[in-house]
Amino acid sequence: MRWSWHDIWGCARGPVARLAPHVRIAAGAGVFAACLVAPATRASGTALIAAAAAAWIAACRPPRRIVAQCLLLGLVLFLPYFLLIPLVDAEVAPAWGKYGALAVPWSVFLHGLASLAVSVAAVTSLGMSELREGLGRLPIPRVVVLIVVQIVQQSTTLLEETQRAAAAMLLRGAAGKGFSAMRVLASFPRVWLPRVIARAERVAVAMELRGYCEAGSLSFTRAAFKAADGAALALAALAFGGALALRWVQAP
Amino acid sequence: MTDRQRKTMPISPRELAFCGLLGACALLLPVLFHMVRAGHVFMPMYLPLVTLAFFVRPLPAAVTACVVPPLSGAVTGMPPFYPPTAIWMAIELALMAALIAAIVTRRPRVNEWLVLLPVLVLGRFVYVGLVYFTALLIDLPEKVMAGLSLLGGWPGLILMACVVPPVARLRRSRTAFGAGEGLPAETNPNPRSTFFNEIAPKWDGWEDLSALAQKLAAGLEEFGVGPGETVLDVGCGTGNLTRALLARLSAEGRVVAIDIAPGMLKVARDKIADGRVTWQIADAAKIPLPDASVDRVFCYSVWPHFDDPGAVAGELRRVLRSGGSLHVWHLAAREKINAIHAEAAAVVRSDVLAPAAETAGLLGRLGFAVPVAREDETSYVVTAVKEQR
Repeated sequence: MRWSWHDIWGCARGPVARLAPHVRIAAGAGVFAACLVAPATRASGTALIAAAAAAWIAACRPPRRIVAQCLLLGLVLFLPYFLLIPLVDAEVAPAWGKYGALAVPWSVFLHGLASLAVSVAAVTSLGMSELREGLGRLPIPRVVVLIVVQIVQQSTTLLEETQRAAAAMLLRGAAGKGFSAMRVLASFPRVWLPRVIARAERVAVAMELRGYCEAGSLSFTRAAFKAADGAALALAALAFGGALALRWVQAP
Repeated sequence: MTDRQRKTMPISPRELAFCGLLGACALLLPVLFHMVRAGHVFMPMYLPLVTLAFFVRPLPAAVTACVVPPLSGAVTGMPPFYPPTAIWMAIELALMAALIAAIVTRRPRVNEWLVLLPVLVLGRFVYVGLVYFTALLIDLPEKVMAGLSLLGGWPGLILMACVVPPVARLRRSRTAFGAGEGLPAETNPNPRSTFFNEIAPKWDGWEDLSALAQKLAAGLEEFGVGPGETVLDVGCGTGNLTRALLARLSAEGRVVAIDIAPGMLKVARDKIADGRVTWQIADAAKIPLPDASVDRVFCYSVWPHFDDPGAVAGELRRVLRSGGSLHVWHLAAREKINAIHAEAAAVVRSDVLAPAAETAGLLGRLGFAVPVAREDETSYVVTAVKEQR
């Protein structure tokens, strides 16, 4: 991981962090969808994607370190698609003329980078406890919310153990090359997974006894809907609507 | 909550714990593999999610498998959302998890390899198909993309085929449902475990079970076990007391039945199928329960087998709620019990049941109030109460 699992949750300090948790998620989803839907092969689409992603990041204001690492990861992940240029049909983007083959990797690069940045920024605007409330207030099936919240909570408790395991694996040569590294890597899950299952059994007993699922753990008191919440949702909807319109207008 | 409601719940607390922990594993294992630069090759996110499918029902397995890739993508940036690798993985994993869980739910004794291998191959082909059609949609070279996906996944598939079945086999012996062969060694450190495993299949043949059930029911009536209580059955053996407790408890009641011998628990599990009971392989001196979590503890026919009764009593006091009761109980005379042990295998030959007054004294020194301490030709009862603070 390029950033710490603990650090990323709720580390943003922008105005988005002051919105209601469910509004943050919904608005983030709207901007995310806009970045994916807008056609990156047109100047207007590129502008919309760039503007929406930049505005969302500015509004969330995550730490610069995370933004920089996020961009770096995006470059590593999506620049290799430009190697496919010789294999891409150049006529897919007639407007690009002789550079038509460039349109496809560019589209992948822009959509991929924007969606990565928007999703990570959205996560930085949410604390772990706010995630539970945010998802609980949205019209998402209860079983999905319970599982997501449980995964995130348990990941914090497993993180330290994972880091210790990684250190032990490195010590035993997992970072090296050849057969010994493969052997360490392949044998690790056989040791670790049974331990996690044994831990799951203990957690299960504790949850059974406390009636975790029965306690109506996803009921919340009615919260006031502020003007800022409405404005954020409206802007996200506007971005998504604009992206849809651009996509629709572009369609033959 | 009634049994009917419990069965129709989309997810039980136990399933939620498994989904949470193995889902978290699926988020963290790729991080760990990426640290040693082997993330892409071994598909580490798949390992915990495919394993999970052997332990829970299809819906929780599929939902967990479906949410983990996008969640990981949102938090760590991997897998990416465009091209929609996170979505391809979510679909493939959800399909595989649902299929495995559905098969295992219908045929619990099925061989794990027979389930896993076809499902893995099917999942891989679905993934490659998704890559192919998405590449067509977004004008990427579809054959190259699909070919790379097909070639890239095989080391991960081989790792899954090697790792998942042995781990999945724990479901047959998982502590919540039965015996514990294959669990980490420290789960079963007591040498008596082997002895009781060996005699487990014969145990119930040595008892008149209907007469025993009547005596147990009468005893529970005398102890005043309430219908909604959470009861810990320490050294549950083949589950005779557990069954009597379940007959007395209402739908809200719970029994946590622990034993050090997986073989005993297996017999008990095969006899009793009831959602109110949780089976655990555990040492009475190290009970995997939170503080003050049970209303009543029974040590039925087990007290002389504790190496350190003081330590066990301290642990039982920890898990008891204030005002909760501990019953040390035998349905035979102390002398008879000690004589049986003296002639049994070496491992239990020195297991001696102390006089009731002595046991009461021990419990009193540990802070219990001991209102009952009696023994006669037919029974041995010491009742200790954790005093209200």
